[in-house]
Amino acid sequence: MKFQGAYIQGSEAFLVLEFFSYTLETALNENKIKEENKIKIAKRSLKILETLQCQKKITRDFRPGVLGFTDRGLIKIIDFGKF
Amino acid sequence: MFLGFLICDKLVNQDQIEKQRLKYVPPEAFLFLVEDITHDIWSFGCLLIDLFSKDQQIFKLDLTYEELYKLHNNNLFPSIPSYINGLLKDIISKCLERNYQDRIGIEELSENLNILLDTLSKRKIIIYEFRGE
Repeated sequence: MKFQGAYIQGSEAFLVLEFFSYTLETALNENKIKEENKIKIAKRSLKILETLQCQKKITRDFRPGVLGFTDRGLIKIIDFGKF
Repeated sequence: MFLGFLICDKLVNQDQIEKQRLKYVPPEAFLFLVEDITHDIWSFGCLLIDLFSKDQQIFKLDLTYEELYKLHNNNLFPSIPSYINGLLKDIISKCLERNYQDRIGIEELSENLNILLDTLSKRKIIIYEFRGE
């Protein structure tokens, strides 16, 4: 997830992060995913886990609700759970 | 109340997030607080059920902590829908191996998914069939 910037307003600090159109959970709930793309999505999701495991990390929160689709259709993890 | 993500125009509260997260936690972590590198592999198996299930998606289940505890304690969660079969069922079963030491490794999992992807694209066979609503 890309960090876009940060700003302070009054006593609160805000982080601006990459925009995600929808999560995998939303997409499944709304039947937005074609059957032929499901294995590809599974592969891309596994790639995320592979990358994390290479760094000896586990998310402990890996589910459709934390996988987000960018405007370009890329899948990224949007919450890194409890490392 | 803590606020979680702001996705589109939806606000999700922290309790709902935790309730969803717990359904993807493997039995050894849920019942015995044992954490292992294979934790996410179990969650990935659940995610495969979500992807290929039409009527038994885990994220749609409304389970209390006590209900989930009972199901895990009796080895009843999650169940693989009967219409998922062949290599896909095999892959999911290996992810959902209750003994975490026997759970499939990420490399083997990746190889199996590649085989499945190849099979689908080359032979154009149907890997599962949905029967009934």
